[in-house]
Formats: sequence, C-alpha cells, structure tokens
Amino acid sequence: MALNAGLACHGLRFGWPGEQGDDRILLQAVTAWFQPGRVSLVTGATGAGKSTLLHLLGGLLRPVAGEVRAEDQPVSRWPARHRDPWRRRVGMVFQHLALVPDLSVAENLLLPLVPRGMKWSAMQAAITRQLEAVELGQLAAKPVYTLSGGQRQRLAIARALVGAPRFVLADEPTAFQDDRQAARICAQMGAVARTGVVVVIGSHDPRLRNASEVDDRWHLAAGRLTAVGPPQAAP
Amino acid sequence: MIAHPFTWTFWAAVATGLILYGAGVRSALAVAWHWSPGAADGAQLRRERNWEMACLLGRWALAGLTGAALLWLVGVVAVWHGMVPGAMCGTGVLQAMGGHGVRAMAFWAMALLALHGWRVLDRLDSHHPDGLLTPTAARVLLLAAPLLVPAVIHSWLALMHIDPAAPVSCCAAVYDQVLRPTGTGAMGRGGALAAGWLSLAGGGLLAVLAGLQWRCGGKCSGALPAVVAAGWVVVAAPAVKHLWSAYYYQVLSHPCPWCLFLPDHYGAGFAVYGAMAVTLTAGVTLWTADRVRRRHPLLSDAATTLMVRAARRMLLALLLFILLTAGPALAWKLRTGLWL
Amino acid sequence: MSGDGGPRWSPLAVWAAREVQREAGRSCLLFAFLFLLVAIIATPMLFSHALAVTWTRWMEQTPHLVVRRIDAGGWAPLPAEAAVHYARKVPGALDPTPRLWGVATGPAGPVTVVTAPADLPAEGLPGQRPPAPGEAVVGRAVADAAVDNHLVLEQMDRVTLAIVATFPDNSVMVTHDLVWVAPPDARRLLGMLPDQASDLAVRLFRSESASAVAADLAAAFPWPVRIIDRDTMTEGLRRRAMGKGVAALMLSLPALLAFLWVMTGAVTGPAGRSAYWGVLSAMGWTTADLVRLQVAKALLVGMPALAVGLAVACGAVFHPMAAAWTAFLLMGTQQLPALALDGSGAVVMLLQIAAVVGLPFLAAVFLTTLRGVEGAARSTMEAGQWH
Repeated sequence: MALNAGLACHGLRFGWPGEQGDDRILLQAVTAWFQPGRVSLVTGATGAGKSTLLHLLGGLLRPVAGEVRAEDQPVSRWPARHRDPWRRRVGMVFQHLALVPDLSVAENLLLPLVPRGMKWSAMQAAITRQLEAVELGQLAAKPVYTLSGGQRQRLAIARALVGAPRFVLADEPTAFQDDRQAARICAQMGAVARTGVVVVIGSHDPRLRNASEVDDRWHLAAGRLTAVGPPQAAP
Repeated sequence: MIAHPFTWTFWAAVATGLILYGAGVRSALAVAWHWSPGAADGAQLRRERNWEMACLLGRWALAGLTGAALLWLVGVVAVWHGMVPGAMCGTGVLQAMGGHGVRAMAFWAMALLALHGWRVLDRLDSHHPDGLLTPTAARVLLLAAPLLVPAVIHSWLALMHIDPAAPVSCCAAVYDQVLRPTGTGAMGRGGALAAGWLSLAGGGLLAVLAGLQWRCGGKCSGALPAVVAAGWVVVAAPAVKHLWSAYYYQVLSHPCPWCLFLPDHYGAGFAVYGAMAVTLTAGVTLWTADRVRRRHPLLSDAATTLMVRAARRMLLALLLFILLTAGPALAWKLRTGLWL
Repeated sequence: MSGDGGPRWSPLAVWAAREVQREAGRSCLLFAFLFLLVAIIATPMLFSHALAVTWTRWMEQTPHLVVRRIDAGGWAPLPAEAAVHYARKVPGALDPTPRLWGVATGPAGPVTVVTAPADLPAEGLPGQRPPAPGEAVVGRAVADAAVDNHLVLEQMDRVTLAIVATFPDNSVMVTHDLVWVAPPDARRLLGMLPDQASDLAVRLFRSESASAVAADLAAAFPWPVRIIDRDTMTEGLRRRAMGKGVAALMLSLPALLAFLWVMTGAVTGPAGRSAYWGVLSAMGWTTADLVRLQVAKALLVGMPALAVGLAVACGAVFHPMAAAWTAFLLMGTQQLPALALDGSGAVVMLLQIAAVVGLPFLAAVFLTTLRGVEGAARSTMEAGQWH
C-alpha cells in the first residue's frame, strides 16, 4: 500500500467560535490515516466531534491548524474554488441526511451528477444501479417526503455513492435501520471499500462496532482520536 | 448630451459593469496585500472566499464593461451620428465630442486590455490550488481602476460636450487631412502605401510566428509575437484608414476609419478592427502566459495550453484581417486593372 | 485541478428548467414582472425610434431645399418664372419648381391648402384624381369638422368646396389638416396672381451640398429669401422623436431599475435556499456552477419575458387601437402616425433592451446568488435546516 494513498489528517485542530469570541476547541491534534480498501469506523460519545471530523475530512470545514491530505494533496489548504470540485470525489452521508424533500428519489440522486459533465445515459445508469443497490428501485419517481426514515437514509447513502467517489464519509448511516438493513449497509460499505475506496464511518451504533466488514476502529474522546486495536501509522 | 435612448443604454451597461467591478475590487483589496497561502486562520479563509467571489465578479465585470465599450462604439459609429447635425459617421460624432471622445475610447481600450491581462492570470491561477498568482492577479484587477475611472469620466464629458444645435462638418474633417499634407493626421500617398505594405508584411510575419507557436505546441517564446502584435496594430490602423478603406469606399482621398462601420460598407469596420483587437489581446495572452510559464514551472502546462489557443486565435484573426483588407483591393485590381 | 472546469450546459439547463418548475409561483412572478418592465421601457423607446424613422421617410419625399421670399412683413409671394430663372443659374440646384400653397381659416381652425401632388407625400395619394375647381380632398381633422360634406375656407377670399375624398388614415401625420384644392381656388383663396408662387422647391444632386447650394441660391435672387434645407428639418424632427423616448425613459428608468434589483433579489435571492445550495456545494457544485444554474434559470424565465414584453411594446406602438393611446400618452395627441421601423432600428432596439433590462437583471441574479452561496456550505451542517 502506497503511503501517499488514502485520506490522512495531521495535527488537525478545530473549534467552533464561542460566544465570547474564544474558540470552543472540539478537536485537537487529530492525526490519522484512513486507508483505501478498508472500512474505518470512528466511534465516540454524542458531541465528541465525529460529525465535525467527517466534515473536516470532506472539506466542508477548514481546520484552524493541521491539514487533511487526500492522496497526498493538502486539500484542506486549498481555497474554496479548488476544494469544491475536489468534493466531487467525496461521497458524504449526512447525519441529518440533507435530502431535498420535494424532489423525487431519482432527482435527489441526480443532484451530485449534474455538474460533472456526464452524459444523460451514464447518469441514468448510475442512478438505477444505486437505487437497486439500496432496494429503492421501485420508488424512483416518489417524492422524498413520502419515504420512511429508513428509506430516506438509504437514499442518502445511494446519493453518496452514485458519483463513484474515491472517499466515502458516512455519518451514522445505520441510525434509522432495522438489523437486516444495517447488516446490508455494512456489507455495501465493505464492498465499496474493496474497490479501493476510502470508507470512514462515524457512528456509535453497536451493530457497526461489531460488524466484520469494519477493518479499522478509532475512538474519538476529549478532542483526540485514538486507534482501537492495531494502531495505524500516518504516512 | 445627446437626447437619445441609446445614451441611457450605454450608461446602464456602464453602471452595471462598474457595480460588478467595484464589488470585485472590494473583495480583492485584502487579497492583494495580505494573502498568506497555507494559513488557516479566519482572516485568510475570508480572503480565500473573497478572492473566489472577486474572480467571478471580475469575469462578469469584464463581460459587462466590454458590452458597455461595444455599445459606446456602436453609438459612435451607427447611432449618435443621426442626432448630430452634419455628422454622417463616427468622425462627426467624435468631432462633436471634442477631444473627450477619443480619450474615452483610448482609456476604455487600455482598461479592457488590463482586465484581459487579469483574466489570463486568473485562468492560469485557477489551475493550481496553491494560488501562486493570486496576489499578482488581485493587483492587476485593481490596476484596471485607474484606467476605468478616466474612461467613464471622459465618456461622460464627451456626451455632455455634444451640442445638438451646433453642426459639425464631418467630411471637412476628413478632407482637411488630405488638403493639409503636413497636418497631424496626414499621411501622404507614399506613407499610405508604406503603411499598407507594412501591415501586410507585419501581418504575414505575425501569422508565421503564431503558426510556429501553434505548431510547436506553445513551446516558443510568447514575447516576440506579443511585441510584433503591438507594433503591427500601430501600423495596421493607419493602413486601414488611409489605404485599405479606399477599396470599400471606392473613392480616393477619403481617409475616414469610421465610415467603414456604416451599413453602406457592410459594417466591415467591425470585422477589420475586431480582428486587430483579437490579435492584440492574443498578444497580451502570449506575453502574460510566457512570463508565468518562466516564473512558475507548476503552471507551465496550463500556460502552454493557453499560449497555443492564443496563437490559434491570433492566426485566425490575422487571416480575417488580410482577407478583409487585401481581398477587396485584389478584387478591385482584377476588375479594373488598376490599384486605387 | 481546475476551477474553470464547468459542467455540460445541457444537464445544467435541464436542471434549471426543473427548478423553474419547482418554483412555479416565484417564476411566474418574475416572468410577469420582467415582461411588464420590458414592455414599459420598450414602448417609449420603440415609439420614438419608429417615429424618427417614419418622419425621416416622410422627409425623404420632400424637396432638398425650399426657397421663400421674405420682406419686411414676413413671407411674400414669388414671381414664379423669375424665381425659376434665377435658381437655374446656380450649379447643383436641380428642377426648381414653383409651389402654390398657403394657410387658410377652416371651420375648426387654420388648415394648410395645397395644389399640386408634388407637395404631398406619395402615401397620401393612392390613385386619387386631382380635385376640379370647387372640389377638395381633405385630411381627417378637416373632414371631421366639415358640415354636409362641404367646406368653407376663408383667407383673402371666401371659398366653398365640396369634399370629394379624404386622405388615407396612414398619412394622417402629415395630412390631418391638409386641404388639396384646384390651383384657381387656391389663388382666389390666398389672393395670389397667376404668375405668383408661394415658394420654390429645389432638388439637389447630392444632399451633402445643401449648405453650399443654399448660400449660392441666397446670393442668386435679387430679393431677400429664406432657405430651409431638408436635412436640418429632418434632424430636428428626429431629435424631437428621440426626445420623447428619452423623456419617458428618464422618468421611468431609475425607479424601474431599482425595482428590478429589489424584485430580482427577492425572487431569485437566497431566502430559503441557503441549505439547498449548501447541499449542492457539499456534493461538489462550485460557486461558478451555482451561478450558472441561477443564470440558466434567469434566462429561461427572462428570455420569454423579453419576447412577450417586446411583443406587447410592438402592439402598443404598431396596433392602431393601442397605438392611439400610446401616442396620446407620449405625444399628447391621438393624431396617429402610421409608424414604421427599419432593420437597423430593430437591432438597436434589441441592443437597448438587452443592455437596459438584461444586463442589470443578470447582474442582480449574479450578485444575489453570490451573496447566498457565501456560507451555504455551513448551513448544510446545521441540522435545524432539515427538520
């Protein structure tokens, strides 16, 4: 495995601006390497900063110190006009899903594909493939607001994967799922990772903690990320 | 001031362009002097976002201001002369504007060239996330302001200077140049022929340089064609006025560059002078991209690609120019057996 | 990685169309507002252009120069043969033609009395036979004031004429107060002797030589004359026509443009869209992509609005019923000219509307989008937006 592959963070520090102008530090000196081809799970108590870490890894937030490197490129240092198009290589599953409720299921999946310069036929094929993968093929034309919570979450996963991303960052992807669907999502993440994709999941779902598809486990507490099990060295 | 709706159209375009440019300048100010690449503090993040906004605003401002300048040109050559007594083309309109009309056009041209230079830097800068050219591009964007302000002021003064009750003598202004061979705008028959040949020879040389640049994949120097392009425009403009235009007018001794824009002459001036403008801007692109390529190896590929495109554009513009200037002259010679 | 790499336009345009459909209410509001704005701005512009073109065309049928004899009391009749003789001596002055015409008092005020078809524009005389003595062909305003199809005119003498025809409506701009009579009736009415003329019409080989020939003509006559040249009159009329458009534009434009910015900001602005744009941004849409999307939406709504607005303006200027009201609002009269527009005038009109409405509209869309995109990515992460 090339050391410059995957998604790495070095000395990552982040804090939300406080009310008195002081920063409320959430992450400090986070260093980790998420390898391609493996599923990494980040656990931690509610409010520990799992979502913030995923947003930092996905380029939605900029660290106040340290950097995020994707395939050895310092993406967190890039200005927005370079970071935004880079984000097309990232598939993000938001904790609150961030679907557009009045659009149909298929249209929600179309959203990440529109700016990529793809042909219509390629877009349609990708959408159909992903909808079938998350067992929503029959609901393609339904508006999102008619779906159940679990179906919406699977749609959010499909949307993250529809653009064939190099990095998948999933925030609580099994929160609204029954056991069968949770197991299927684990398997799906594992299958995606086996194609050489970096998969990072932030969750405190015990079903994921014990899943065999998870290769690397990390725990986030008190602003620090520590490897659980065999330690991973950053490149 | 000319009471014509087109005047207000021009000002609406100017105001729109200036608002966009002003917003862009506001965003670029901090970038020009406080850019600290790699820093992740809030101020730098704001500057990065500001710069992204400034680039978009600058592009739109360039489009808006180019539109305004084109409206000014259309106004001078095709619209306002109907409102100035005695004016039959742009010569009469510019005469009615005093010296402000010509000065306004000169400042508009310089401001747009500066903005074009900025656009070249911006395009190259967008090819690398380190923002190697960001502060330079921000300064060039600001540099257009001292050119735009006089352009707008002289445009205003020029339009205010027009007195619709005071007639001008459009043709007299042209024929005076013929009758006074020592006048400032004068060019004898020999001078006109020399300018004509120089414009063709320079155009040919430039076409060869542009062709070489295209063929060698942008690896040749960009400075030489840029310098030759600037010199060529200086020679080609009087050549069009004193020599080539005669084959459109089909009369001798009517050295008027503006009649060439009239519908009677198929608006050929737009294409002929447009080709010269494209050649000049392609020269600016070649020069800027060449300098960037030498100083920033990381941007070498992007600069080379830009240079190839500019060379291609320059070549096509030159071919158009030669076709539209030497073409009618040759057709006249074939038809009548004589040169004018 | 290039910040310039944009999407293909076709998926983006299709998505823009979908968004227009999603926001049907806002889009309809914007459409209605834009087309009204275009119609309000284009109507006076189109009217003044068409008026200028029409006046210019009328004037092209008039003589290049008109020579009138003057004395201490003002206008004086010309000895026709002598005037022609003197005018023929001036190089460049062609076809000097004595004209017999003047002003008389009709039942509803002064009317212009003419005698020869050469004094009238060709459009006013389709197949009309010249009036015999005791007959008259009259303009619309004169016909309306006549009683029992008879007209009584007074000046140096009193003449009663039978109205045999009226000039067609499309010539009303120049014929509404006109009375075409036989020369003997005109002489009796105006008190002119058989060899006298009201003025002398002169044609020129080149209209550019008008000022030079006018000076030579003035010197050629042994009595004082006043010479009017066609180009000066045409320019005056054109200025007057354009002045109407400018006045209407100056009154309305600042308020309309301010309203345009406010409305565009309100309708296309970021209200309620920040989270949506944040999602798009999180999925790799750049700020430039978002601007392209908004501009595509604006064009999808704006282009039809422009077309409809221009169509309404054309109707207001060229449709006889609506045009009467437009003429009344802009000129203070319903004496309607049959207006015309040439090709270059239409192009200039389009350029004007594109610059006066199109540019500020697109700029407003662009600026409101930029304002909305700022911080949009952050709003994606705020869960409150999604519940």
